[in-house]
Amino acid sequence: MMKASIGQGILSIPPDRKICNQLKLSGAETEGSALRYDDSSFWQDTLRKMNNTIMRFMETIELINSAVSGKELPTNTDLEQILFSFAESMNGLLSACNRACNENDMATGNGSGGVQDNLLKLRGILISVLKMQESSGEEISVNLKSIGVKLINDASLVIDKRTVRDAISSRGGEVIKAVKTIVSSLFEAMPLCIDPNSGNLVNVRRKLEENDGNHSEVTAALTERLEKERCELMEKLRITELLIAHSNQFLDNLKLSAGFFPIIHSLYDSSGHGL
Amino acid sequence: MKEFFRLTRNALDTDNDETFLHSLIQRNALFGALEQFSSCLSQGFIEKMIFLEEMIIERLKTERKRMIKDIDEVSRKISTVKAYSALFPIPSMPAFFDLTG
Repeated sequence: MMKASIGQGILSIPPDRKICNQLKLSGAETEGSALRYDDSSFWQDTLRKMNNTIMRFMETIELINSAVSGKELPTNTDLEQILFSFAESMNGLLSACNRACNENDMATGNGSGGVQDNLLKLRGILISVLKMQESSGEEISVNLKSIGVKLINDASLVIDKRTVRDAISSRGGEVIKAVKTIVSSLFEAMPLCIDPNSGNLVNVRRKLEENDGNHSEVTAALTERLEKERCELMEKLRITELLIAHSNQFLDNLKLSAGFFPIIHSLYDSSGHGL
Repeated sequence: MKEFFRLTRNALDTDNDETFLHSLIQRNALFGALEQFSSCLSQGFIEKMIFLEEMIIERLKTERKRMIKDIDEVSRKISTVKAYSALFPIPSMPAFFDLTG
């Protein structure tokens, strides 16, 4: 589906990230050989599916990255299809994470708690990348939302076909830029690739940030956004507390002026209008 | 007086939290002026104001509860994000990843 449509517009797979053509050779895509477990209990089966889902996702963004990485896109590249494939792949991974996290059997399986934690964190990483896209509108000229790809309820990407088509036809360059930005953010946040020899999913360790433990750009941006959100909420809370204090004071003064009216509520309807 | 009453009604009538707070903030500046006229207010008007003010306070308390919940939620998210490591965005998991590559 995605491979057929995007593949026609794709030039070649970068040699340093040679995963795609090895995926089928490894058998991981169909056989789940990336997970080397003999035990076939239910939660391990779920893990195998997750593993393959992640690999397919990485494969998709590799393909998309290849498709948009050149200075000029090949004429037969279908940007709309690329966006659809991206959303479809992202939704598949998000829903797989949610499903796997909700499996009761996983919760009782040996080591399953760690797996669920990992899946939750993976989901958090994906959401944070998508949210960063939404919040970094000033830094990049366009984000996914503005080209018709919206994150709904932190659960799935929804595509507004009309907006996407308009964006592609009127500002295709910006659409490509947005796709490039999110793909590079995903690579940064998910440094995964598939070992071409074994077909196993490999976590590529980073060297630059090993010592100081600094957060990646993605998590730093997310933290900043959350801190800002918290500050705004704190300020609102402060104002609300102040308003409550003033209203209480005003109410006391009114009661002092008029005396106490125990049946006063019966004089008005629920909206406060006099009867 | 009319302005105070209008802002109070605006606050109660709106479903928008921002507008609700904004109306009350504007209204806050009129408390002092209102006290000057308090002796001239009719009993019926005061009764009505008491009822409205109790509704305002009730909604403010609901808002406060919601904000505290939101702050708690955001704080939890911040802690989660800070727990991520750039070195291991997804913690090592033998069943999940092959770390030998």
